[in-house]
Amino acid sequence: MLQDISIDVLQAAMRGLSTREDTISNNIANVNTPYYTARTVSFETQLRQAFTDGGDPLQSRIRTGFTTDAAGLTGNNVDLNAQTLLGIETQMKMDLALRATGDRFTLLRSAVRGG
Amino acid sequence: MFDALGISGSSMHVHQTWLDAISDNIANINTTRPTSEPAFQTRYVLAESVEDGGTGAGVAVAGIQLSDGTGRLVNDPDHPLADADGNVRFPDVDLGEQMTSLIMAQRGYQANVANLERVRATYRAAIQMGRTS
Repeated sequence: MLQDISIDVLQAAMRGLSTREDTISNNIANVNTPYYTARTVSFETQLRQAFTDGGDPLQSRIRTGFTTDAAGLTGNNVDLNAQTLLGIETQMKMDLALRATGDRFTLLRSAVRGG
Repeated sequence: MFDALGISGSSMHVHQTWLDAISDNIANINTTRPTSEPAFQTRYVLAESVEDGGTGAGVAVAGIQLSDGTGRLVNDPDHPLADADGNVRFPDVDLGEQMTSLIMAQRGYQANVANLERVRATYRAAIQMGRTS
Protein backbone atom coordinates (compact mmCIF):
# COMPACT_ATOMS: atom_id res chain seq x y z
CA MET A 1 0.00 0.00 0.00
CA LEU A 2 2.88 2.32 0.75
CA GLN A 3 4.52 1.10 -2.46
CA ASP A 4 4.69 4.16 -4.66
CA ILE A 5 5.95 4.42 -8.24
CA SER A 6 7.24 7.97 -7.75
CA ILE A 7 9.46 6.89 -4.86
CA ASP A 8 10.88 4.11 -7.04
CA VAL A 9 11.57 6.53 -9.89
CA LEU A 10 13.22 9.00 -7.51
CA GLN A 11 15.32 6.23 -6.01
CA ALA A 12 16.47 5.11 -9.47
CA ALA A 13 17.27 8.74 -10.35
CA MET A 14 19.28 9.23 -7.17
CA ARG A 15 21.21 6.05 -7.84
CA GLY A 16 22.11 7.34 -11.31
CA LEU A 17 23.03 10.79 -9.98
CA SER A 18 25.16 9.22 -7.26
CA THR A 19 27.05 7.18 -9.85
CA ARG A 20 27.54 10.38 -11.86
CA GLU A 21 28.92 12.10 -8.75
CA ASP A 22 31.45 9.27 -8.36
CA THR A 23 32.44 9.59 -12.02
CA ILE A 24 32.90 13.36 -11.76
CA SER A 25 35.01 12.89 -8.61
CA ASN A 26 37.09 10.30 -10.42
CA ASN A 27 37.58 12.60 -13.42
CA ILE A 28 38.68 15.46 -11.17
CA ALA A 29 40.90 13.07 -9.19
CA ASN A 30 42.66 12.18 -12.45
CA VAL A 31 42.95 15.75 -13.74
CA ASN A 32 46.75 15.39 -13.86
CA THR A 33 47.02 11.67 -14.68
CA PRO A 34 48.68 11.08 -18.07
CA TYR A 35 46.63 9.16 -20.68
CA TYR A 36 43.45 9.27 -18.60
CA THR A 37 40.16 9.45 -20.53
CA ALA A 38 37.23 11.12 -18.76
CA ARG A 39 34.09 9.07 -18.12
CA THR A 40 30.40 9.89 -18.40
CA VAL A 41 27.26 8.34 -16.94
CA SER A 42 23.90 8.13 -18.72
CA PHE A 43 20.70 6.90 -17.12
CA GLU A 44 17.96 9.49 -17.83
CA THR A 45 16.90 8.10 -21.20
CA GLN A 46 16.77 4.53 -19.93
CA LEU A 47 14.83 5.60 -16.84
CA ARG A 48 12.30 7.57 -18.89
CA GLN A 49 11.91 4.59 -21.21
CA ALA A 50 11.32 2.20 -18.30
CA PHE A 51 8.75 4.61 -16.87
CA THR A 52 6.82 5.00 -20.16
CA ASP A 53 6.92 1.27 -20.81
CA GLY A 54 5.44 0.65 -17.39
CA GLY A 55 8.48 -1.37 -16.35
CA ASP A 56 10.28 -1.36 -13.03
CA PRO A 57 12.27 1.92 -12.79
CA LEU A 58 14.73 0.26 -10.41
CA GLN A 59 15.66 -2.18 -13.18
CA SER A 60 16.65 0.59 -15.62
CA ARG A 61 20.31 0.58 -16.54
CA ILE A 62 23.03 3.04 -15.56
CA ARG A 63 25.63 3.18 -18.33
CA THR A 64 29.24 4.28 -17.84
CA GLY A 65 31.14 5.35 -20.94
CA PHE A 66 34.16 7.32 -22.09
CA THR A 67 34.17 10.88 -23.41
CA THR A 68 35.51 11.52 -26.91
CA ASP A 69 36.97 14.98 -26.30
CA ALA A 70 40.42 15.62 -27.75
CA ALA A 71 43.28 14.92 -25.34
CA GLY A 72 45.87 17.51 -24.36
CA LEU A 73 49.67 17.31 -24.32
CA THR A 74 49.79 14.60 -21.65
CA GLY A 75 47.10 12.45 -23.30
CA ASN A 76 44.54 13.53 -20.70
CA ASN A 77 41.15 14.90 -21.78
CA VAL A 78 39.60 16.00 -18.47
CA ASP A 79 38.01 19.45 -18.78
CA LEU A 80 38.05 20.79 -15.23
CA ASN A 81 35.55 23.59 -15.97
CA ALA A 82 33.06 21.22 -17.57
CA GLN A 83 33.43 18.70 -14.73
CA THR A 84 32.94 21.36 -12.06
CA LEU A 85 29.80 22.66 -13.77
CA LEU A 86 28.46 19.15 -14.25
CA GLY A 87 29.19 18.46 -10.58
CA ILE A 88 27.17 21.48 -9.47
CA GLU A 89 24.33 20.55 -11.82
CA THR A 90 24.33 16.98 -10.50
CA GLN A 91 24.32 18.26 -6.95
CA MET A 92 21.30 20.48 -7.69
CA LYS A 93 19.43 17.57 -9.28
CA MET A 94 20.29 15.41 -6.30
CA ASP A 95 18.97 18.07 -3.90
CA LEU A 96 15.80 18.24 -5.94
CA ALA A 97 15.32 14.46 -5.91
CA LEU A 98 16.01 14.33 -2.17
CA ARG A 99 13.52 17.11 -1.55
CA ALA A 100 10.88 15.38 -3.66
CA THR A 101 11.43 12.06 -1.86
CA GLY A 102 11.31 13.76 1.54
CA ASP A 103 8.08 15.53 0.65
CA ARG A 104 6.58 12.29 -0.56
CA PHE A 105 7.36 10.67 2.78
CA THR A 106 5.89 13.67 4.59
CA LEU A 107 2.69 13.14 2.64
CA LEU A 108 2.61 9.46 3.58
CA ARG A 109 3.34 10.31 7.20
CA SER A 110 0.40 12.69 7.43
CA ALA A 111 -1.79 10.05 5.77
CA VAL A 112 -0.72 7.49 8.39
CA ARG A 113 -1.30 9.95 11.24
CA GLY A 114 -4.61 11.02 9.77
CA GLY A 115 -3.80 14.69 9.39
CA MET B 1 28.81 4.11 -0.13
CA PHE B 2 30.47 7.53 0.06
CA ASP B 3 32.90 6.43 -2.68
CA ALA B 4 33.53 9.96 -3.91
CA LEU B 5 35.22 10.87 -0.61
CA GLY B 6 37.82 8.11 -1.06
CA ILE B 7 38.30 9.00 -4.71
CA SER B 8 39.03 12.65 -3.91
CA GLY B 9 41.24 11.56 -1.03
CA SER B 10 43.33 9.33 -3.27
CA SER B 11 43.96 12.25 -5.60
CA MET B 12 44.90 14.55 -2.72
CA HIS B 13 47.43 11.92 -1.66
CA VAL B 14 48.93 11.70 -5.16
CA HIS B 15 49.15 15.49 -5.48
CA GLN B 16 50.70 15.72 -2.01
CA THR B 17 53.36 13.18 -3.01
CA TRP B 18 53.99 15.18 -6.17
CA LEU B 19 54.37 18.40 -4.12
CA ASP B 20 56.79 16.61 -1.76
CA ALA B 21 58.90 15.41 -4.69
CA ILE B 22 58.99 18.89 -6.24
CA SER B 23 60.01 20.43 -2.90
CA ASP B 24 62.80 17.90 -2.59
CA ASN B 25 63.99 18.61 -6.13
CA ILE B 26 64.04 22.36 -5.56
CA ALA B 27 65.68 21.96 -2.13
CA ASN B 28 68.52 20.05 -3.77
CA ILE B 29 68.99 22.37 -6.71
CA ASN B 30 72.49 23.34 -5.47
CA THR B 31 73.49 20.00 -3.97
CA THR B 32 77.07 19.45 -5.07
CA ARG B 33 78.81 16.09 -5.36
CA PRO B 34 82.36 15.10 -6.28
CA THR B 35 82.74 13.98 -9.91
CA SER B 36 83.31 10.37 -8.73
CA GLU B 37 79.68 10.19 -7.53
CA PRO B 38 76.38 10.59 -9.43
CA ALA B 39 74.67 13.95 -9.11
CA PHE B 40 71.43 14.43 -7.17
CA GLN B 41 68.68 12.80 -9.24
CA THR B 42 65.43 14.68 -9.95
CA ARG B 43 62.37 12.78 -8.69
CA TYR B 44 59.36 12.29 -10.95
CA VAL B 45 56.10 10.95 -9.50
CA LEU B 46 54.22 8.58 -11.82
CA ALA B 47 50.43 8.74 -11.43
CA GLU B 48 48.11 5.98 -12.60
CA SER B 49 44.32 5.81 -12.51
CA VAL B 50 42.75 2.97 -10.46
CA GLU B 51 40.15 1.04 -12.45
CA ASP B 52 37.12 -0.85 -11.17
CA GLY B 53 35.42 -1.43 -14.51
CA GLY B 54 32.88 1.32 -13.94
CA THR B 55 33.19 4.82 -12.56
CA GLY B 56 36.86 4.31 -11.65
CA ALA B 57 38.30 4.20 -8.15
CA GLY B 58 40.58 7.22 -8.01
CA VAL B 59 44.28 7.53 -8.67
CA ALA B 60 47.45 6.10 -7.14
CA VAL B 61 51.19 6.67 -7.21
CA ALA B 62 52.57 4.03 -9.59
CA GLY B 63 56.16 4.78 -8.66
CA ILE B 64 58.88 7.39 -8.48
CA GLN B 65 61.27 7.70 -11.40
CA LEU B 66 64.70 9.25 -10.99
CA SER B 67 66.54 11.21 -13.66
CA ASP B 68 70.03 9.95 -14.53
CA GLY B 69 72.86 11.07 -12.29
CA THR B 70 74.97 12.70 -14.99
CA GLY B 71 74.11 16.24 -13.94
CA ARG B 72 76.48 18.91 -15.20
CA LEU B 73 80.12 19.50 -14.43
CA VAL B 74 81.12 22.89 -13.07
CA ASN B 75 84.69 24.08 -12.83
CA ASP B 76 85.30 25.41 -9.31
CA PRO B 77 88.86 24.58 -8.17
CA ASP B 78 88.33 26.19 -4.74
CA HIS B 79 85.44 23.85 -3.92
CA PRO B 80 86.34 21.30 -1.16
CA LEU B 81 84.87 18.47 -3.33
CA ALA B 82 86.68 19.47 -6.53
CA ASP B 83 88.63 16.74 -8.35
CA ALA B 84 92.15 17.03 -9.80
CA ASP B 85 90.81 19.03 -12.77
CA GLY B 86 88.92 21.39 -10.41
CA ASN B 87 85.47 20.03 -11.39
CA VAL B 88 82.40 19.31 -9.22
CA ARG B 89 79.06 17.78 -10.21
CA PHE B 90 75.83 19.77 -10.00
CA PRO B 91 72.33 18.28 -10.45
CA ASP B 92 70.37 18.91 -13.66
CA VAL B 93 67.20 20.11 -11.86
CA ASP B 94 65.30 22.42 -14.22
CA LEU B 95 63.84 25.14 -11.99
CA GLY B 96 61.39 26.35 -14.64
CA GLU B 97 60.00 22.85 -15.07
CA GLN B 98 59.79 22.33 -11.31
CA MET B 99 57.94 25.60 -10.73
CA THR B 100 55.46 24.75 -13.50
CA SER B 101 54.87 21.33 -11.94
CA LEU B 102 54.50 22.97 -8.54
CA ILE B 103 51.63 25.14 -9.77
CA MET B 104 49.97 22.18 -11.52
CA ALA B 105 50.22 20.03 -8.39
CA GLN B 106 48.87 22.84 -6.24
CA ARG B 107 45.92 23.54 -8.56
CA GLY B 108 45.17 19.82 -8.84
CA TYR B 109 45.10 19.51 -5.06
CA GLN B 110 42.82 22.54 -4.74
CA ALA B 111 40.43 21.20 -7.39
CA ASN B 112 40.07 18.00 -5.40
CA VAL B 113 39.52 19.79 -2.10
CA ALA B 114 36.80 21.91 -3.73
CA ASN B 115 35.17 18.78 -5.14
CA LEU B 116 35.42 17.03 -1.78
CA GLU B 117 33.50 19.85 -0.11
CA ARG B 118 30.81 19.78 -2.79
CA VAL B 119 30.40 16.01 -2.51
CA ARG B 120 30.28 16.20 1.27
CA ALA B 121 27.41 18.67 1.05
CA THR B 122 25.54 16.24 -1.23
CA TYR B 123 26.07 13.32 1.14
CA ARG B 124 24.99 15.44 4.08
CA ALA B 125 21.79 16.36 2.25
CA ALA B 126 21.16 12.67 1.57
CA ILE B 127 21.60 11.80 5.25
CA GLN B 128 19.17 14.56 6.23
CA MET B 129 16.46 13.28 3.87
CA GLY B 130 13.04 13.00 5.44
CA ARG B 131 13.90 15.11 8.46
CA THR B 132 11.22 17.68 7.94
CA SER B 133 10.63 19.88 10.96
